[in-house]
Amino acid sequence: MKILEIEKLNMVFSSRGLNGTERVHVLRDIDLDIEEGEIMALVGESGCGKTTLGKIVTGLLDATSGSVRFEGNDIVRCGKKEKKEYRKSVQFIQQDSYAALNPVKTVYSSMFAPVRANNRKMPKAEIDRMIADYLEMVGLTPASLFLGKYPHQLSGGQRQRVLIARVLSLKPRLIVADEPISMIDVSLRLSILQLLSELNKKLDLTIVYITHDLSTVRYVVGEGRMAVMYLGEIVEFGKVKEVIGNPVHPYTQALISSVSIPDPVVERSKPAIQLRSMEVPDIRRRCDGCGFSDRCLYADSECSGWKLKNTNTREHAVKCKNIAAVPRYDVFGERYGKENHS
Amino acid sequence: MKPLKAAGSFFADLWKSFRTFCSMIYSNKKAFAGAIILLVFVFLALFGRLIFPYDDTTSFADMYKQPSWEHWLGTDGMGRDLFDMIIYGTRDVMTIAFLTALITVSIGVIVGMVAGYAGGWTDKIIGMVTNVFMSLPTFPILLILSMFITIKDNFTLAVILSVFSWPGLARAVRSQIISLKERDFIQICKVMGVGRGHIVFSELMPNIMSFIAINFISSMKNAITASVGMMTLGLALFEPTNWGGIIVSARNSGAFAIPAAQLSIVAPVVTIMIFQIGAILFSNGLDEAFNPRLRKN
Amino acid sequence: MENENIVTFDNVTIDYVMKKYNLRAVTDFTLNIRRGGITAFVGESGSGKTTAVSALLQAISSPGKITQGKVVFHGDEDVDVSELKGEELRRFRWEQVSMVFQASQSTLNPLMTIYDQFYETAFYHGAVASKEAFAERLDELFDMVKLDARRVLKAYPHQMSGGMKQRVMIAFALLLRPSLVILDEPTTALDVITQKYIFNQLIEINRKLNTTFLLLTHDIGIVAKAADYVAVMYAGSIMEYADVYTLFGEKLHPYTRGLINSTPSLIRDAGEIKPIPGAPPDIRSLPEGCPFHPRCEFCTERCKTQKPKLIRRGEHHWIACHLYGQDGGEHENS
Repeated sequence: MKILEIEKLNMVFSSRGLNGTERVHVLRDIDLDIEEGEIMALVGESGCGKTTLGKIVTGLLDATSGSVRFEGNDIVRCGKKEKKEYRKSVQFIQQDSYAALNPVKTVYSSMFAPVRANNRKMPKAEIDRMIADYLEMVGLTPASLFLGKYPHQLSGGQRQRVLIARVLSLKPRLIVADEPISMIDVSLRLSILQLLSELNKKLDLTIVYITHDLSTVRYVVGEGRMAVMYLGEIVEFGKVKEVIGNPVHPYTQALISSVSIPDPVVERSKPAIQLRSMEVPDIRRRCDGCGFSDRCLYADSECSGWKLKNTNTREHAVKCKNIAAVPRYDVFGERYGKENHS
Repeated sequence: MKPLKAAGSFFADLWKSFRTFCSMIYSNKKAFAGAIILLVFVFLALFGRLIFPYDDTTSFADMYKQPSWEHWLGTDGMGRDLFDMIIYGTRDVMTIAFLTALITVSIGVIVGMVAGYAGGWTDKIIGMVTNVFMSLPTFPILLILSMFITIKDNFTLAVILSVFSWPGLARAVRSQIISLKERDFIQICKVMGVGRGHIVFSELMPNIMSFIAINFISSMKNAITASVGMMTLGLALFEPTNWGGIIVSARNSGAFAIPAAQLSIVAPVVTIMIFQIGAILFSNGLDEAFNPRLRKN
Repeated sequence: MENENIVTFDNVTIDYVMKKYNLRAVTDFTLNIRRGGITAFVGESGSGKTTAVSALLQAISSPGKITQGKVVFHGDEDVDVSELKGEELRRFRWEQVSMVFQASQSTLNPLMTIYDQFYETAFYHGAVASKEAFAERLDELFDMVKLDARRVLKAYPHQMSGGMKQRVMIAFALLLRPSLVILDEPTTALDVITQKYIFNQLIEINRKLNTTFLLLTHDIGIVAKAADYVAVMYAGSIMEYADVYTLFGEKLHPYTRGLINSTPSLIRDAGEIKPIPGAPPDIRSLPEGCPFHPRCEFCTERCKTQKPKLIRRGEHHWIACHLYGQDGGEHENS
């Protein structure tokens, strides 16, 4: 069952600056469907709009146009009851765990408020028990050790777990996790990813995992689906196996070839992908057509004006005009153990 | 799962915050020094009159006596012991200062928080009102006022003083709230379904507590100076033992020109200064103590 | 004949001396850094790699100091770095050893153009023969990092992207033709494609110039990509040193193996990735014996009490672990 349906979503930020009103088109015509119970990865480098998309889905931002439907109900135009249900069921885990917690409140205090707000009639003893249970569910055992602590007294990994526990205590159906491990020490990252994976399986929780780190995508979402974003658009979408095993869009290919593999033999023998320009893309100065056309080796003069639409290769959706001209880059295909098709 | 004990209760939390507050003051030398000075004044305000009984009988024979074992700071123009007068007047002065600070901070914080959090038209309207009050020319208005009325009680004095001081605080609180509003932990409240009242009082306010405390103390010290000004203008009636009162009476009786009488002016001025120093040390120290912790990452 | 090693760490111990206690950041660190090529120091935060390498520039942040051993730089003569002072130290820094800092800690002066900053440093070191020669040198440097000199030299730091700034920093580090360049996490905070691009350039520059690069990183993918030799550090001690293919191929030291096996990779399934059990070390209270023993699945009684020495295992392979021949092996760097 589709739990979230995003259709033709657009987001334009207007700011009034010294040169008049500046409009930045941060998200363009996003179409995405999320199945209940899946973990989906939203991958892209900084500035691609993935965080903005996450914030729109969770209601932190209002889209300029397009629709987001949660369980069939448009989240903006639905009735009060549906809105309340949606609010409770869709939650957000922020990237910076330190900024996401009130610095003058203890862990207990920060967890109490949202539970109380959503369960007005629940007796305090029961809330207390819930809080302790969820803290232990995310690995903060014994809970009593952490309840009285302030955010600055915890490690990055512990804070991130508190954020997860807090969100879980609201019993959501879908969680958007925005780069949950990028601000955590390398040695603590894996266990947070394992936690997310477990929660998805144990609680049948739908998770949208936003990241720029492709290696972790394989780890957390290996059997699921991923969307690759570039300058406000989803340029490629499909099963993780297929997108990593046989990337079709030139940007995805460049991205995949850039990820360093922790194995010198493989890393140094994999074919490199050149780009036409190393200029970092600026979302304010992109053309109306394909945003990657200035760096793409296979772009022709019409690409910068070409209105993006999907060219489907089986279940693998790609937004590229010239995919016939793009050679294969299935360096990692066989390592997935299954055949890959184009 | 055993029921959770002290960590949960509201008063335990409050007590814990208070203890943290105290330990922060203790750990910062400035704040601690300042706090001691202020506490001495509070103590004198409460108990000074019992320890140093004040005899208000006047006697021109004892006028402008020099400091001695009998009169530690000498006497004023009417033969009264200067030291005892200052101690006696502490209660009066502290009351005025405290009332003014209370009214200023209450109005300023509420207005600032509403304007900052609500934004939009509410903010604009409040902004206009604040600007009007802020542009009131204090001195001329007080001068004109003094022609028509004379303030007889401390409470009215506090109210008049607050009229001129709340706008500045409201503005400062508003900008604090505006920047706090954008922080991640406030933004997520909306997603988690936490109500607006809770956000304002339980999430935002604790973050500006130190700011409020510092402003409260500043307000008190400004009130003392301002009240002396009011007394000089003749706008406010005063007890002869009020520090400002001592200064004004001395001036009115020409003490400025009499060398023997100068202590009756210097003593209250120095007393005011000591209070100011205590207040400044305390607020600067508090500022230091709170900010590094909040910025710690 | 030129010493095949450019730096020798000789049994170095570095402590942060504080009021109530000593924090031992680096313990009995002995290593030779080979001349030329790229040597990587791998370790998580707290491993001591940054502290150890700061000793090379006499730049250990206070209150740290070398309490034992010495760091020797093999230039025209052998120099004990901690004995350099004044003019000598000034010349040593940036002429012999220079550094590229993390992308997020730009050391570029925001108020000066790039040209001015390069000129100022070169001038200060007496390296400006003439304006023309200097301009040629700048062209050479910026060509190496694939930047358009004319555009960049006139610019101020805030006008450049993160990737551009890092490339400027690399050019800046190479300005005075040092024998050794330290790179401290040079591409963290940059996006993946830019990261790869910059490393490709670094490798090319390294081959061309035969300058030694000392790379500090926690990212073993980068190590696999760029390093020739790797030193693995944990809680202030060196665990293993090997050439990159041997290190990844044999994964001899339990920590090395744990580190590699716990890193998500594009080519490995979730099931093959296992975290290292236990918690990261608390350098304020390190256990006796081998610092890794609380988390090691092969831990023996000996590991708990005796700290293993660094023993030679192969031509370019040294390991500090009781599993691999502690008796009879050489235990000094030769």
